[in-house]
Amino acid sequence: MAKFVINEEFLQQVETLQVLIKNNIAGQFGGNHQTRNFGSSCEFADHRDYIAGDDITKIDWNAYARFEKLYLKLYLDERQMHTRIYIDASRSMDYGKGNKAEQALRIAALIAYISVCEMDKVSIYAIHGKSVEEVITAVHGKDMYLEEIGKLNDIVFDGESSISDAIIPTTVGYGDGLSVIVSDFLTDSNYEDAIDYLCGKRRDVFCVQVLTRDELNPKIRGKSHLFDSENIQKTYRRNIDRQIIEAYRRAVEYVTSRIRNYCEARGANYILATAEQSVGEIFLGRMFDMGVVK
Amino acid sequence: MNFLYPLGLLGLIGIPILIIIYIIKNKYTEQTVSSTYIWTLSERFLKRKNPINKIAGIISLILQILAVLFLSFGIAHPVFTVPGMANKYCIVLDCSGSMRTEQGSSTRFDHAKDEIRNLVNGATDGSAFTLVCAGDATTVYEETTDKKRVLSMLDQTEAGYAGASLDSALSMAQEIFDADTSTLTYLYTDKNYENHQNVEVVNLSNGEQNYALSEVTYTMDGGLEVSGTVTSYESDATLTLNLSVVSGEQTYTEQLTVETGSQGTTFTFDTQYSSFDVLSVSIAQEDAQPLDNTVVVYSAAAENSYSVLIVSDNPFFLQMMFNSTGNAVFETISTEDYTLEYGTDTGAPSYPSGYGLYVYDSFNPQVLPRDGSIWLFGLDSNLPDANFSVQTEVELESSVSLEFSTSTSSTVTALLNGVIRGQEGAAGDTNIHVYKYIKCSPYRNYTSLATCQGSPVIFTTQSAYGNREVVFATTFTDSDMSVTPNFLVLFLNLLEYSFPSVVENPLYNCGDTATVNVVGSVESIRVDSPGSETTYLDTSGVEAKFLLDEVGTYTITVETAGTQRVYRLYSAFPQEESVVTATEYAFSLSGEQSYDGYDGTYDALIILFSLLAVVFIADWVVYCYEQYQLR
Repeated sequence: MAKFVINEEFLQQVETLQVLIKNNIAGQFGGNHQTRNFGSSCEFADHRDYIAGDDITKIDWNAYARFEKLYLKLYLDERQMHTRIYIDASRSMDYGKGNKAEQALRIAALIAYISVCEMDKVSIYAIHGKSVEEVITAVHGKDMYLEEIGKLNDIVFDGESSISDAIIPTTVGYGDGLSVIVSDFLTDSNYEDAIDYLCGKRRDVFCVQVLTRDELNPKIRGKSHLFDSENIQKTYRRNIDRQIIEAYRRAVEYVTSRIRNYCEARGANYILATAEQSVGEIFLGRMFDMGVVK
Repeated sequence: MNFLYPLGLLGLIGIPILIIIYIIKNKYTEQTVSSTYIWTLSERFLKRKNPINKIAGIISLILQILAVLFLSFGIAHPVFTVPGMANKYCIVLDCSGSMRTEQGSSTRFDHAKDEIRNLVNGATDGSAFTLVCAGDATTVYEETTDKKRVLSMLDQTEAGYAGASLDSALSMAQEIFDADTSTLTYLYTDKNYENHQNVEVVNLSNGEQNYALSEVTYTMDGGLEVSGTVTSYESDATLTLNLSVVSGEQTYTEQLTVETGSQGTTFTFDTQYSSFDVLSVSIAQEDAQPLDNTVVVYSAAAENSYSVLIVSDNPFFLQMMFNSTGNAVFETISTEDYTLEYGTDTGAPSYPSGYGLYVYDSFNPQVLPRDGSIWLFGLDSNLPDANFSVQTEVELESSVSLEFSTSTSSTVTALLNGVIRGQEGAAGDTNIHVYKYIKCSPYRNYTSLATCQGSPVIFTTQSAYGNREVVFATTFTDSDMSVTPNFLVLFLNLLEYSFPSVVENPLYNCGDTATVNVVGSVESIRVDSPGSETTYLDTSGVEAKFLLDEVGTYTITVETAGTQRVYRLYSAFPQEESVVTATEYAFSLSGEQSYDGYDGTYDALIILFSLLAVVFIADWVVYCYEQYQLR
């Protein structure tokens, strides 16, 4: 079982961060985010011609005096987002030296915290097999966050997981915020469908691939018989030499570039985080670079 | 193929052991990873494997098996037989002095040794070699097939300074050739041979420039005159000759310029020096053979000078006689002083020492000296260590002529050489007459030279200490010795007997045999060669001889009763060895050369160990490569 280790000091550092949402949202609650829809906030956005039936209180009389034509003032609307975080809870996430599960929980907790600070709702789900298990549901406000976030410790990382099969049948919302998938994506199962589905629901999609350094640059050499932690039937038996290591590195590059390219093609965000990196490094460095946070 | 040490093949047991270890050790390491997804995926990115890579896993095993194989074979030391490829070689090496001629930084002899080394190393293993070194004596090293032994023997050989007895070497080579006519005979020399049947002559001469001195002599008539011959081989040259004369503590030098060629030119240094201890003539110019550029001559008279102690109250006549010899240094002491110094008043009687000759004139010492010869005139009482007894004094009514011995022994003949045996009373009577003599009885080993009435009056014997002793059983006052010509002759002969010249000839050629006279009571004669080799001569005979096998000054140290006397002689480079390009008539072996080869051997040890080294390096490279992969 992964341990939830994020201290108060670090939380204060990231409190000032804002999640940048690039898509329009269609949430029903006025959150701290401005949408590209015109709404009833007091922040002026633009003018448009008056059409019969419009609210006459929003006619710009100063513009009428200048142009002798009726213009309507438009104001930006503000809605409350619902951030949904999906954590891959397969066994492969919690095996080996570098603990990907801990890193996944840290990332999820931080994204949740940032969202809460932005007055958004946050739900966190654990993917087990082909099902999604709610861990935290619709948390809003820091007090509630602090009460609920400890439930992440209860997530059990075991078995296999199928991201698409688990997410698609669930309620993912429509145009109302960010969907985050935290996984190692070391699977043959079809996770692209899940990304397509979420994008189709006009959600901002953010894929965080968590790998260990050993997975990126393995130290295994010589005659080795490797067993998959999720499925003992899956084995790999080879005299691992330099050529195989080179092929392995190409395979890693293939796996990471495949998901990166897939995300970029659909306007989704993607980062690769190693289990050994600090969350500060991930959030204050790489996510800044990518514009995921500002 | 044979193995010198077949037990070494037991090492092959290591191969199955190695395989077993490899099988036991060669297991896959099982471990669980978070996901085999990427590992499985990597198979798609694996390049097509080189077929050699299929055996990559066992390359290390193959190399280790090869290492064990080569090591075992190496220890077993395989030797292959090569039919008909070996030969018998007879190598004749000229070790004469001319082979010392310099050729750049080495000599002809060094080049000859290099050539022989090449011949030996290039010969098929199993070939037999006989090395014949022709120096002042011919040395035949036993036949061997061991190349290292041949080369070791070759390293031990050195060129001599004298001529080489190539005739003797030829007869040795002929014997070897007669025993096996397939023997290949090689002669390494610096001489041209017009006829060399069945012999491969390797001429090491390159016609080097050489200047040489020879036939250096001197005369003292009216001053020192030094003459000799100087030769310039190969080409005519104008040479500068330096003469250095050492006399006492003075050194004189003179210089002469001589034009000379291969036929030689006579030179003469005409000086006014009346005597010398040592002189040297040298050529100022440098050449390929420096050994013949200097000749040193030691004065025989200076080398053989001697000291005399005369104990007499009337020494005038004896002083005059010794003074006339020219090379005697004498001291005189009266009988009274002698008694005071060596008599019994101061305790036990003692004796003087450090003189070559002690002359007691009408005086009886209580004990005889232990070193040097002794002359006793008119002894009237017994001496315990004189080896004869004194009986009575015989006074004659009239003078009687002494009868000289008619013995034909060499000693008597030498001592009475020149003595005129005239008839008594006849005109020109040269005999020694006595009026009174002392009757003596020598004990043993004495030589009577003159008698009176059958009693020996002049005789030689030896003292109890082995020193030569001359006894005159009369005195100058009781005889007419001092005025007879025969005494003068006898005196000189007895001096020669008492002081035989240790080195009669101070100048020899290298290769000659030098003669050293063994003086009485000598304890040892040590000879130090120019190369600082020390030998002790046999002193049991009258003469001792030794071979001069180096060029330079030999030092002869004669030790007699605790005192040492040093003599020197010079061994000059032989003239015939100075010739740069000598031509000899023949060095031929009679008989028909056959060409029957012998079974040679091929020693594969070097190849095996080379392969072993390659395998070790390859294994090391494989190991490093594997370690590199593990990084």
